[in-house]
Amino acid sequence: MTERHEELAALQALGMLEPEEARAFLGEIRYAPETMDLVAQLKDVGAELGELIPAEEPPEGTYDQIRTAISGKRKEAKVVKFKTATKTSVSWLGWAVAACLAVVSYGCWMRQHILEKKVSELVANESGEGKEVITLREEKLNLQHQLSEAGKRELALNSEITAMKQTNALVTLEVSSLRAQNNAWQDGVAVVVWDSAKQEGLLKMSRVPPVRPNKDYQLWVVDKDHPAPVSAGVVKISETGVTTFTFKPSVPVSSASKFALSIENKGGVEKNEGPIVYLGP
Amino acid sequence: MEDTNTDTDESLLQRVSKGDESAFSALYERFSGRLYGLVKRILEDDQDSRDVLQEGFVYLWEKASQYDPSKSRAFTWSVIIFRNKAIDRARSRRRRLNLNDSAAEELAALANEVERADQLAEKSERANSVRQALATLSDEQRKCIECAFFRGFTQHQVAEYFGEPLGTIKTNIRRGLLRLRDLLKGGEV
Repeated sequence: MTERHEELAALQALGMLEPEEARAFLGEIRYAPETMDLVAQLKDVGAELGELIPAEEPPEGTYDQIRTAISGKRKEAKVVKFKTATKTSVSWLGWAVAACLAVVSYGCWMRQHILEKKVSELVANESGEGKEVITLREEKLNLQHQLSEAGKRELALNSEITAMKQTNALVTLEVSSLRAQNNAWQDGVAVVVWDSAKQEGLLKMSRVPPVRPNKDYQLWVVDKDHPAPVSAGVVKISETGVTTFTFKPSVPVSSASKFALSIENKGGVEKNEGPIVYLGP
Repeated sequence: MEDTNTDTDESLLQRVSKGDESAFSALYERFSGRLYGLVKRILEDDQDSRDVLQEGFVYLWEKASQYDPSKSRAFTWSVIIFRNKAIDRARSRRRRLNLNDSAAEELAALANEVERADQLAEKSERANSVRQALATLSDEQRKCIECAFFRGFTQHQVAEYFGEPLGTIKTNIRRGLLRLRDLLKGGEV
């Protein structure tokens, strides 16, 4: 290992490299496990300094807040699961309705079959009164109509189910909630919906504070195949308070692992320079 | 509920990774004071420190499965998480301020860092080892490392503050950290 690599490993371990320097260094040592191991060792050594800090009692109620936050996360996870289940349940609902219709159709068919038999018997025996025969024939026609309608509905539902299944198979949408990186943006909400297949997405924001006149918000996509975040465009805040911004990254991305919203010079920049105010997932 | 008093920090953290709330509570009891002290030293702001402490423990709850006891102690692993979160917040805050104006003021408090730590820190065996190891470094090496660790300054900012060439800062950091590693990991302190 070179002295330069040792030096950079020490700086990286203490977080002393600028983001661009760190990215370049980590890219350089990607296939140098020895250097990567040194970074991890030195990071651990640096953290030993934490032993020197005198303990301070956290403010009262902090633990309760943490527990609440964790419970909230659990609920979110449950909601996500529920949403997935809802998607699935729509399919199941379709199947269930189709199954019910099939049962009804079969019931109609059975009743029709019984009536036909009865009509045949009455006609054959010539003992039935004409009125009863007519009533039975009308009932038979009615049931035939019901059977036909049920069959049509079953067919339509089956088509719908097939279409839904195809849609589900093609869904590649990912929804990410971006987190404010400091207090000034805590009240805002930013959510990204990303379609990896179409390579396009939608950013929805509300209550996000405006930037200074010489600045703009800019959206970035973090992709493992690109050393620097990929620009997804300059975002103008709507005066209504709710901003909807559709975007397409400047270059194709293979895996959008994170989305970031930063404040840049007006008109946007090629590489992220300004502070990141929202990041997620 | 299992007894957590006799558990090591490492086994508690591993139990946390399996969703054990009593282990999480015990770990909070053990770590929160020191971690709060750390983030408060970095941020020097009660509200920010409280926020970071909360974020850090939520993160720890969610990511405990990533902890590998064969690679690091549970406390140092936690220190890395909480320090990173505090530094991120401090840097983000600093970007909004004029760094040059505030740097001297912020660093003034650093001069007595070790002395204050000596007076106030828990006299744990590990803390003594770290303190002794730090004492073997040159003043320049120690100051550079402390400045970077407690303030989250980049190499350029540290060079600017001490008025030293960048190369000197890099050398101090490299030699100082490697020396600390040899002393702490080798157990020669």
